Amino acid sequence: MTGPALRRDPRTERDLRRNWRDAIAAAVGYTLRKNPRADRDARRNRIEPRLTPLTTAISAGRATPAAEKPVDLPLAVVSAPTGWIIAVPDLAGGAYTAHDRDVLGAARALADVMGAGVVTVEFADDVPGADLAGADRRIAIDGGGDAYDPERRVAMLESLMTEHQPLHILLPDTAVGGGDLGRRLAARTGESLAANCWRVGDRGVIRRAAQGRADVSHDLSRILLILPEGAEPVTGVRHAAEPLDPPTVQTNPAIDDLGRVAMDAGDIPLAEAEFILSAGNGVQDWPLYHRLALALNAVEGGSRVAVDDGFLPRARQVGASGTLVRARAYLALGISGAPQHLQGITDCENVLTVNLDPACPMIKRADLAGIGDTGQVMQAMLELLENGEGSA
Amino acid sequence: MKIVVLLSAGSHPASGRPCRADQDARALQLALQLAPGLEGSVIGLHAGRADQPALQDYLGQGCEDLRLVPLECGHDMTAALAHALTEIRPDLILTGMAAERGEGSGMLPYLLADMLGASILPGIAEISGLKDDRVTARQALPGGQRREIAAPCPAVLTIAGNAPDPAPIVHRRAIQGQVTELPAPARTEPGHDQGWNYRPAAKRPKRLASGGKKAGGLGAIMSGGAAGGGTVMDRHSAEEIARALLDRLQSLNVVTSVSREK
Repeated sequence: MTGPALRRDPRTERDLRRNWRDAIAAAVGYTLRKNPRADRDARRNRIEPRLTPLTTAISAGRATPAAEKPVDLPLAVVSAPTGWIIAVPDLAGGAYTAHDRDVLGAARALADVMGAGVVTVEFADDVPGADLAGADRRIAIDGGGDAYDPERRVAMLESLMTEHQPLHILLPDTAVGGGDLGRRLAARTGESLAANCWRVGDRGVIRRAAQGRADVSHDLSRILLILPEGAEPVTGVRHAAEPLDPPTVQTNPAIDDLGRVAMDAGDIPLAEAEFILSAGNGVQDWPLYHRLALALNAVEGGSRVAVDDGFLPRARQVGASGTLVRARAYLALGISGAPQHLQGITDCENVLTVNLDPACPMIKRADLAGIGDTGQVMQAMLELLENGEGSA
Repeated sequence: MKIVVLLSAGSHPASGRPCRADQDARALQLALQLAPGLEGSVIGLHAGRADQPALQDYLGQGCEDLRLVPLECGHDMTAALAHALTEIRPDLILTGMAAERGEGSGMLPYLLADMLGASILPGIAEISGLKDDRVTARQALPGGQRREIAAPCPAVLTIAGNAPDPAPIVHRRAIQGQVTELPAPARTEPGHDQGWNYRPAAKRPKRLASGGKKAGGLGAIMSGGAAGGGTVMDRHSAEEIARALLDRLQSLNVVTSVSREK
């Protein structure tokens, strides 16, 4: 590394040399296979792996200087497509989600093999990213927002099917989104449908059957419902995404959308919660904890100790014998992290914790850990929230 | 007022033995809770063999009127069930979202709705009410959210796993219950999945979270922990820890805004 002399931290470098396996695993994203004999020999002969550029970089604590230059992606144009493949993304939240991009990736892969083009049908206004997701043509249909409107959408898809005669129609397999539309379309038109596909190729699909218990493979159906991560998304290339005219259909929908139900954090079941505030043995001020949960609009949860002591009902227990949670954010206050509790939070994406003990297993599991008194941190969080411009 | 619940044989997650299917049992539970208030009757309908062990579980849960459409193993049940339903003429048809045995594509409720000319409401967690030939129900959305939708009767509702838990099985009811056998359908054909090779589910390869954004493989470490994997804040004040936690929660979009003063 060129530039002014970097200040190195010998303790960090020593830790890295000792935990070199973890350092490499973090860098490359997979764990190296252990070789016990090599490790034993290294220990006997007192050899420590040398990782000097790595250790220097980390101990200097510098962020990578490589600036993110906006890369101009090459444009791929399909000149004379032999047919069309229609992809219908869910666009939950008004943008292309990872699942949507996977579906477009599957459509792109099939189209490239068959020499066809990809048309994306967006049931929303003005959503960016169709060109990066791999669409050659794009049909934007006036959304109606978040409303549940499957009959009108299926009528439009039927009209598009007669107009473009697509080879295949791909949708994300979600319960009330693409999976619902695809199944309605299959029932109305009598086309073949393959649900829960997790691998799609020109020779056929591999599907999950029987609610995930079995696999089955067969030839390509006309309508394909793709599971999340069922295909690789398109990267490194841009496509044309030229707009096409939306179809006009008249429908008389029987289903009424009466709107979202205002759900308080207290109404959301623990197994479905996205943000959980969890309290354990280290929490003394329980009224403060409840006030903080209210201010954060977080779902309350607790460890076995908190529930056994009667501070929370059994339904709020997180863990192997309680509820397995899959929250996007899990904030644990005063929980030491017994194995059964950690089992309960294996599927949590981001774990934050506050604990007095820096050596407890929860600190190791957490993505962001604070060593301190839970009562003081709770009070500080509450004050920051109450003085803020808004609440959660 | 009649509510028909389509009941299928489930597969126990650990042993694979036939038992009551989870979503079908929740559908039956919703029907049993709804019917008394509306002075209606609950009819369970199963297509298959009379000696199916799972039927005892449904009887034990409290289904008093359980009817069987005799059907050969592996044959297509759509037409037979549609015929039985046109004879019964229910106001509501409750089903699970997909079968636990066989193909499990979840197409059956949609095909039946199309054949009977009924509306279909998928992914229901709760039935709010039935008034003036219109059913109102709560649909389960991701993240614990709910959306209220309504449709005219007759309607098919597919019940999601978010619905309330089914009642435990009472052994006396299970062994004393009776299954009514309906007349066999005239002609059935083998299902379209004849000859398909079902094998136990293979483990799907997990996608690496890092994707394509690393700078030469060292990017995760070169960013010096700013991305925050495994950061420990030791010897910081409570205010600093609180601020760091709230900043992280804000970046994850679970908290909207926090005071920027101080």
